[in-house]
Amino acid sequence: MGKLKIKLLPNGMIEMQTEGIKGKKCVNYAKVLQLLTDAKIEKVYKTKEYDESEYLELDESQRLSDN
Amino acid sequence: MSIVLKAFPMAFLISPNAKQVSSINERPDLSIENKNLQLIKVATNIQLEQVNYLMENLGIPYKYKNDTYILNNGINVHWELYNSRYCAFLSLNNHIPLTSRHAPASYLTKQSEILMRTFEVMLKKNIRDLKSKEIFYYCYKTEYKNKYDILEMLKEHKIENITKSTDMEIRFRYNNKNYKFIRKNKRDPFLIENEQKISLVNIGSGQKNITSRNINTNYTNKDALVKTLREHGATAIEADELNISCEMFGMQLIYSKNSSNEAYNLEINRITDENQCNKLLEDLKDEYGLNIQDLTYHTIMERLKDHNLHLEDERVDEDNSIILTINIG
Repeated sequence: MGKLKIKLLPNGMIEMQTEGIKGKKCVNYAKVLQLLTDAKIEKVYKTKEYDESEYLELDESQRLSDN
Repeated sequence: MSIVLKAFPMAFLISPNAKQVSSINERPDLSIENKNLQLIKVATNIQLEQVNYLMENLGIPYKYKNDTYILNNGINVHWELYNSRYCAFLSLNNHIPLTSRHAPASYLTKQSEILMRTFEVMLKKNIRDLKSKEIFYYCYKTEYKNKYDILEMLKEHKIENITKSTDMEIRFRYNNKNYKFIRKNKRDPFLIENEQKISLVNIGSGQKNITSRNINTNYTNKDALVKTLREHGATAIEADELNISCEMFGMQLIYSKNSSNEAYNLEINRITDENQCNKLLEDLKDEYGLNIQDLTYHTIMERLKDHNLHLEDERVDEDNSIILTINIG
């Protein structure tokens, strides 16, 4: 299960971080923030793992069991 | 595997982290050396008898017509009732000093400002119409005789905020300023009027230097702004869809905008202490931010249910940030 961590700063700004969401689909969750707040997205930072596929995120034991 | 994003609520026009545009306009922009500057229109708050008093006591100007005066310094003053206000139309005559003829626009601007200050000293009050935001309108000659040429030019410059378009008048907004192409006769070329916000100066008793100030704020949310002002002790708060006015620490604050999705322009009058004014602006900025944080929190809480999302955790950080953890998927 993924998580959104939303930080509401005292100056009114909003920061959000996705956790546990694999691959490029995590970008879609920016839309969730917009649904919840009507906020305008100023910047999106992608982490280095952003381009990793869901397959590469699976650990060795999971792949073995899938096979 | 994640993204981090920064966002800001619609209650701000631009990010609150962005640098705010703020300026103290003590005089009009003297950099204008445009030879096409034809006249300056100043909206005032005075009545006919005060107009007569001013002109009779101005050092015997030559009265050209009932409402037009020729001053020795090269300035013509024409008074006209315009939208229920007496406006001074200031232009140049042949008495302009030789030394200033290379920069007539600058001379007209400077002398107009001096003249308005003189009027204010004579009447011991600010004579510029506050409802018109103490605006100087600069009027320039243009070559345009056909409104379609103007509309084409505006289109080329990607100016789409055109609020009026007739054979005699075209109004538009550009870079947060109002502009107007106008003419009185269909055979004449258009003049272009460009508002120049100035602030200054009610010399009043002469004991304190009382100034005004214009600021482009970042605030768009009326309710949050009124709440902020009220919490900060503002009195005489009046608000309608586009305007909010109030009194605070002896100053008059007037927030105004032209449409609901714009940010408010703030005009502060009767400033006697610049430091106090700066402190007030900082405090209002902080409190508006806190009110928006609160507003955003409650909006999220309401909408979580609508979107079938579950709040796993919430806490408040040492810096007063609110951290919400939401389960998804």
